[in-house]
Amino acid sequence: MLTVRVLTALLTLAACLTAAGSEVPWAPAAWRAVWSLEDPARTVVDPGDPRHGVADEGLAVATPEGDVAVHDLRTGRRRYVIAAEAVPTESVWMTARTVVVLRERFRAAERHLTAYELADGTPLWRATVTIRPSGSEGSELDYLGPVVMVTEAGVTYLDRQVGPLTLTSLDLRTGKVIARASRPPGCDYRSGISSRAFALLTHCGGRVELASVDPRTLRPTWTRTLPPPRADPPPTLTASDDGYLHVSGDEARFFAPDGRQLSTAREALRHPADETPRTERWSQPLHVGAYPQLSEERLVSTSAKWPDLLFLTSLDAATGRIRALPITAPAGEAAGLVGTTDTMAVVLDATSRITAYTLVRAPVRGPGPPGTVPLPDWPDACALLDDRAFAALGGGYGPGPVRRTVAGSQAPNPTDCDWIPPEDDGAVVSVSISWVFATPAAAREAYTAMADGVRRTGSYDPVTETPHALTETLPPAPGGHMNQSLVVAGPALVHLRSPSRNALRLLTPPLQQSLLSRYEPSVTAPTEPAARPPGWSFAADVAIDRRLVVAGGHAYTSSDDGTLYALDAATGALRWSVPTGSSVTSGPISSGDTVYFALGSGLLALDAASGRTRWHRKITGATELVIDRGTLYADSDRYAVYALDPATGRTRWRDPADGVVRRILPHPAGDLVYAAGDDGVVALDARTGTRRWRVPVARFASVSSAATTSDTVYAATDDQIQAIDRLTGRVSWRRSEPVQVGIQVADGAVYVAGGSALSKLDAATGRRQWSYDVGPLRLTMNALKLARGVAYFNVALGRLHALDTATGRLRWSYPPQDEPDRRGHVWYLPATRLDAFAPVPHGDTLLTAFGDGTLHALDPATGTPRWTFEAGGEVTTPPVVKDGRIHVGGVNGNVYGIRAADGRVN
Amino acid sequence: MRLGIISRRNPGTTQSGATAESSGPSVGFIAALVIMLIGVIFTAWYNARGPDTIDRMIGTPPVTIGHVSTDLDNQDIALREPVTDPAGRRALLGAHRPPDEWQALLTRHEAAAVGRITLTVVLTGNRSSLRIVEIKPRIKVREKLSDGAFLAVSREGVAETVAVKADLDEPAPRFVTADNPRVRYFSAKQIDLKEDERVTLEMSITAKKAYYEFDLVATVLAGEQSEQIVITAPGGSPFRVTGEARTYRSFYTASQQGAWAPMPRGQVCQEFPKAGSC
Repeated sequence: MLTVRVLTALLTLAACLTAAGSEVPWAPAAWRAVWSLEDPARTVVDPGDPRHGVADEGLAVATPEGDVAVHDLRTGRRRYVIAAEAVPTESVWMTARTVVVLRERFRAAERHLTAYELADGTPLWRATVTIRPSGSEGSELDYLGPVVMVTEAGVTYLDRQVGPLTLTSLDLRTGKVIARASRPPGCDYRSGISSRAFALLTHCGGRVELASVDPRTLRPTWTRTLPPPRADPPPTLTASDDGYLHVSGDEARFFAPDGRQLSTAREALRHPADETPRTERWSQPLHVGAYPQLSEERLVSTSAKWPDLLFLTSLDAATGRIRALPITAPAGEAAGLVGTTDTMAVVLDATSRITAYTLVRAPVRGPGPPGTVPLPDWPDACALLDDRAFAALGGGYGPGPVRRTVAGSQAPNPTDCDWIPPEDDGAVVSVSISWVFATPAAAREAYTAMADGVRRTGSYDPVTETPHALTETLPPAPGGHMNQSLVVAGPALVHLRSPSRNALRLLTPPLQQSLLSRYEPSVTAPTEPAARPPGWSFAADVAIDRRLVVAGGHAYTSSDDGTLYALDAATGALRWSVPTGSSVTSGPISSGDTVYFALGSGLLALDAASGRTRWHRKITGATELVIDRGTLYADSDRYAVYALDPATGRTRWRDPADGVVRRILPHPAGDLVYAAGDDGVVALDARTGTRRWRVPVARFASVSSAATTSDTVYAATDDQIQAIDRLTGRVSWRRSEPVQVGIQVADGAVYVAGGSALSKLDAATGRRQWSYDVGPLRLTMNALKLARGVAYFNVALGRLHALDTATGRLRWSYPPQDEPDRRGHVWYLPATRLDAFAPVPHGDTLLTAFGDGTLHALDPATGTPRWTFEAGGEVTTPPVVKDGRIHVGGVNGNVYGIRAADGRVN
Repeated sequence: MRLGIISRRNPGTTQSGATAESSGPSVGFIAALVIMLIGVIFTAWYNARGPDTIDRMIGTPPVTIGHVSTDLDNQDIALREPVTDPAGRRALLGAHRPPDEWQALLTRHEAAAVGRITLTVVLTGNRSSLRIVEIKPRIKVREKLSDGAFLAVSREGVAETVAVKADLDEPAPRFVTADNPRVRYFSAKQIDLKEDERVTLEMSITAKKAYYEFDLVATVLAGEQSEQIVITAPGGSPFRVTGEARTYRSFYTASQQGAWAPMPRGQVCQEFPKAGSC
């Protein structure tokens, strides 16, 4: 009986073992976002000065104020804050139940290290140390890497200003010195940190050595000699938190934590197609960036070679092969790896969001790259668009298919397709299959994250936005402008790129339809955008410049690439465009049947109906262009004021200046024209150009704003305002006052804003009547508008304040509370667009932009929003209201015509 | 890289064709004697000819051309003819063009640097002692200026300074010092190399009046022997440089995606006011 039992048990065990042996192998399959938060420092990942620390127990984030916020790594929830100290916080680390903070006074040699108990932030120890700056000038030592290395075994730092590389280790929990060691001078050092040790790559006299150093003893636990580099650049070293190493150089190599060489770059990217699937263990990620590719035996990860999508790159711990999985974060060169644990990775993306991802494992389905479907199932990039789609662009386009190599295997279908126009006047269009995810849900998650990132900080086209597609205008870069559509359907994420926004508007819908037909045949591609913005819109290829005028049924404007446009003001249809290739420095202004632009290359007068050139004068770089009583006034970058015949461009008179002219103010009386700038204020006879008087300003000062009344000229430099008799030039009063916004004069008062306040001065005496504190004016893009007894003061990146001009009391502000998340787009605006945020009263509505990509229509009495208009990027021109329609231009290249009554469709 | 030996003195060969009939037990002794004799003769001959004898015998050039590169990536480029064929336009304008297609286009359209080309040549000595006494550009083709297409690179950055220059428009172009064009560089300075010693030469070649295809001819003195080495562009093709034309039949500028894009008309008219469309 006993024998039977034993046999039964043995058979059961054998059956279990057989079953276990036939189990499908498992491997990492995806990184899933679990939580996300805004990085308060809005910084980038810098291993030399980390502002974030990650460990199993949490995430530490240094704030600009010097606090260190400690979050739960699983949930992102904030647990507690280590309060700021008088000495600014420089760096923060987290490891083995400990938070370490480095504090440093600006340019001070001594720095302060403090360790805290991770559980509750209780201080453990403090030490004042002298840390060598990396790459010390004039030093024989060439060290590239963090100067403080925090591991579970201790805090190690480079502790001398000059001389050989000297390392000191402190005990992590007590701060006591536990080891000191020196390395020879005249060598080149690179370091990489993992959780338990740090690696040192030494290049000394033609000998290259890689060592893993135990921080407790500062002795190597293993050393390997590597071949000397054949050429620049010298090798660099990257370490994963679990100790895997990547040495770049002539031939990149990967090492295991025990010093074994696992693979070269070529071996790391080789993935035999016939390999039997097996259970895989991966290293913690080494890198975040574009999909790694082989280039001359090096591993490169450049977004130029891979469409915008971020991947976390690990190593197969057994074979040393590269394993990369996509993450759902907006792409960008600024993205960085904050830290990793066994199962999690924390990434700071280009939009300053910190996102925690957890690793998902799944059964291995085949020998192909992880995280995607088999390469033969990727769609053909050239088949997503056809000749019919390109007919709208004039036809004749030819496809150029390219097959990308993914994880060592070349895709059988084209993954990229350049559509080339037959002639040079067409725009190249490129289709790229960014990735085909393992599931449609993963693709949708990635799309949503990327689209959210674009909406937060980019400029996009709301006109073409659908649940499956979003088009963005990429930031200006060397090599011209570029735009791209991100399209998702099923598991596929596709990019469509072209310098022509019109091409993207025409081709994004058919591309979307192709993908939906393949992956989601039951879904009909929306013919109308889901959230179509009201009114008409016109798509220029780049950002609309600073000004837009509406006259004679046309809206005239220009774009950043120097193209001049005339649009039908009622429909937005293009009437004409003139590519000048020169920057627009002022204008347009319109007079009669002529429209005038000031360009870097000269003044241009165009026939308003046809765009034909009427005349061109080589008066270059004018920043002021004014037409008054039949005379066109302009300055020039050669320091002069010109009075021209607007019909012929002929010079009537010219006044040479000693410096930049910033304002030209013809007086309403018609007798004098005032030129203000580096010369101070100069009064010129409007008919002859004869100088009547000049009021100079202090050396190195310049009049930046000026205003006139019937008898006085008010002129302001950055720190002074003065009142000048307009006929004699006699200064009637002068007052020191910070001025950051153009001064305004009304009803016997001068309004001036600077420092942190808006002030009202008596126009006759300069005496202050009231002052209202609005907080620090961080930018110069603030604007003031006086209307109906109210001073509307718009603080860029802040709020719009409505003040009673009689009392200086606040009537309302909008939005009622500061909303930091609204900020962002304004950083892209050049400082010359000073009046983009000028509030514009129209009937019973006040129109204004803030820098949040939205045009706001407010009740001028209460500040209550009537409607808002999402422009898809910052508004760059002050709104112009004509014939019941609001016309504005945007940084995304769109010009809009919006119904003024309700901000809705025509 | 290609190494062309134009002329080389025959280093001479010595053949030992000793034969011997078998003559009983003395055969082994005679064979050993012959081998010893050959050894003595070889040693005497080797010592008389010098330590580089074997290198000369087996045809090893006196210097190895370790590396040749041009700065074509940072230079404006002119093509002989406009790019009109679909494959060429793909290689020119496509964001995802394979690098070999781009190189093929440059070769097919005889791409030349505009105005100036900088060559970097690394030479390694293959003799115990040698002297590079002269390097001269040798013009192989001189034709009218290239005007098919102008490919403009970004003009930002600092222009590099090169100490050695040659002007191909001169009747007999030679390298001169950058600070004094009347001083021939190799009359003022000669380059001595030992075995495995390396020298890196950076040379700037200019042209204004024509399109040139050229190579470099280096004269190397090793022992008593003078040899000439031809240095060509990678792949064995000639170096190409052309003067700037007043206008071109097509214009391109570097695009954000790493390829080329048609140059905006305004920029064309600013840089080339004589262009037809301006």
